[in-house]
Amino acid sequence: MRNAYAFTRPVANSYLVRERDRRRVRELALVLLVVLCLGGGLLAYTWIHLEVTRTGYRIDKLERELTKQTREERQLRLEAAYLASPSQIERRAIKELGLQSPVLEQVIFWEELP
Amino acid sequence: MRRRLGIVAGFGIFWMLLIGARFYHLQVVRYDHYSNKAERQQQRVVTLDPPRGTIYDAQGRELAVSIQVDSVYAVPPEIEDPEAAAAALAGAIPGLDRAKLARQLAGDREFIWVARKLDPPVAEKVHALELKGFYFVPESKRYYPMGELAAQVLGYVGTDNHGLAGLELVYDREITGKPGKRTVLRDARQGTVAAPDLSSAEPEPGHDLYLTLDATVQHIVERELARAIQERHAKRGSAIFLDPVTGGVLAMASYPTFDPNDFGSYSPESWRNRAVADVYEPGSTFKIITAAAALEAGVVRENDMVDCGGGSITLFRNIRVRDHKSYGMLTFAQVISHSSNVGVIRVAQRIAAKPFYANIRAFGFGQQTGIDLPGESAGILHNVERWGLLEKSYISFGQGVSVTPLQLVAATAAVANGGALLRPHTVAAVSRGEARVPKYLTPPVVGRPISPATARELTRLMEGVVIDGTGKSAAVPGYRVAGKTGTAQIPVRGGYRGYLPSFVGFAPADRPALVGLVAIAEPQGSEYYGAQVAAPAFSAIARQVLLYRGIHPERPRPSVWMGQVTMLAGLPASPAAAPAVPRLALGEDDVLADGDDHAVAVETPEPESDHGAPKGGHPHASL
Repeated sequence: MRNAYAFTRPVANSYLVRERDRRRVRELALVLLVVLCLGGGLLAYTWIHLEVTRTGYRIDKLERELTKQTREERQLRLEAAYLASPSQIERRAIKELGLQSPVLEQVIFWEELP
Repeated sequence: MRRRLGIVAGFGIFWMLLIGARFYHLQVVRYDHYSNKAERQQQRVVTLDPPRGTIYDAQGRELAVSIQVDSVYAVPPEIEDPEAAAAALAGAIPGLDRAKLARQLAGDREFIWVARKLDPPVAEKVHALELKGFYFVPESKRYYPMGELAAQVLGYVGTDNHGLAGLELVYDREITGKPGKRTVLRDARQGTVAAPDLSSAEPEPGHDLYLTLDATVQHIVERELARAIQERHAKRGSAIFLDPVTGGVLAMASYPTFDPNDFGSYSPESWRNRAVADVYEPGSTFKIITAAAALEAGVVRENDMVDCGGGSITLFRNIRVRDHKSYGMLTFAQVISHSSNVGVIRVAQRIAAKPFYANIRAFGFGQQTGIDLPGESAGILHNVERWGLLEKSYISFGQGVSVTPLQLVAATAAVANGGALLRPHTVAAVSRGEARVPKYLTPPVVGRPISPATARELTRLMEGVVIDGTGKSAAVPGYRVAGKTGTAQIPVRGGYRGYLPSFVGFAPADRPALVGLVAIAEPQGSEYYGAQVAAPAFSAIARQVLLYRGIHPERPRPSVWMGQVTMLAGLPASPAAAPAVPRLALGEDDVLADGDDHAVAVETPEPESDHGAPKGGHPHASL
């Protein structure tokens, strides 16, 4: 192999031009388009599905929050109603504020005002 | 090589055909079966409890409210240590039987209720335990924030959220509403995911009730009734107060009472609404009806003389009816004011039995009043065709006839309002969405047992009872009160046991704003007359309620009260009150509003002179 040599001969084929197969290009473009459409559709479908699920979770969470808030609001109303009961007011007025019921002579009626 | 490829390809095609066939079987042949199964696994139908309607008093205060609370259930197969779980829960839930729960948790059941409708603080404690195998489900629970107030009127609901007594029972259909349903998706962790495309039906909330009953009036009536009963060591009692113009019930109290939040802890006796369910012989209070019949029939006038003889009258052979003392000759007005049995019998004997009976029926006795409360008794009034020789005489002074307290107060309201018998009612309006639909657009008149002229004459007779008769202790300073005392004996098998003193009346007599009855059963001690036991309670109630309702007394206009005012009654709370306040030399801050659009109290400056206000520096409040 040490004594080996090689010949080089220039090939003059630069004038040759590969003919463009338009039909194949169209087919390729069509395939690409179909694949893109299918893939895009699939992605869109998956995305929408995920969004629906995610929104479902969000709605569920908000509904729970709403239920919780409504429950708290009702509890506060209940407490307010308890505190507004005449027996509670009377008890606190007498024990905490040292008030007592008035007698008639201590009362002026609206109709009696001059 | 080609043969081997053919064999492999053949296997491949066969395998693919098998897969395809299986797919076909699953997706086409068994489609319905598996899609239904998937739905069952992935979807869950949640029942949405409708909020039960709220019950409000006449001033818009909440008497019965529903809120969502948690119930706890267990799935025993998921629980690793039932003993420890039971111990932890017993520490958090008061009254929970630890041993029983541990036994149930160790059993082979798939589901057990641990506790239903926990109060929010208790539920929080259970949540904090984070026990495995225990789950929560929201349920609606009824609360009565004012506790025992009007318990027998409001009633109570059972665990299934349906009314079992009182208004909760009568108006159950209106209050309950309709449950809704929502389909949700379940994820792998058994969590729920809302799916808007799945079916859902929102719950329809129950309607709210707006009562004629006023919580403050009810409180006053309950307090005074309990006080009278406890002072006399009596066994039970009832009191009713109506608006004589509309027939609306302002207050209805029974003693003993109970807390509807925990009705199971009380005896069924205390659940009883005695004002509508109990019947009793009314005694002398029934003389109002006899007097009405006599005046209406024209057989007597208020100043006609009646011979009350020597204090007794023989009805038949040895059957005699006595008075407390020998009255001799009395005017008919005095017969009523002194409550003479003999005099009333003599007058009743002038009326024929049939018109007398017809008049008693026209006043609503022997039939239900039609009030919107359950368990109403019709009382006992025998048909006139079955009356014997003595029936009319006995009935004339309130024996041989049984009435409910409600019937008697409704009849007295007819006297008060000029002769119209009204149907008593407790509900003023029912909500329909945002609107409030009144139950009656005009007062529900069910009859006219007496003419206005008779009503006026009878009012004068009843006023005489309080001014100069047996009912002096029912008087209310500053107001004209009309009424009648009664002391009936309580019939038991073979005789009578104990007394039932009562007082029925209205005030002010000339412009009635309040008609009421107080009846107290079996007081102990030597004082058991209506005048001694029931009339003072009526007076105490009427005094406070008239004041609360802003019914001004008959007295000269106060002109020198500047700086002495302790209360403004019937005055709208600020800002409407503001213009009046400077005239009374008071600051706006001195007015304390009670939330009912009425100013209730102002601080009391020390009285400087005897202008009518009492000495002493105590501030005052009115409720």
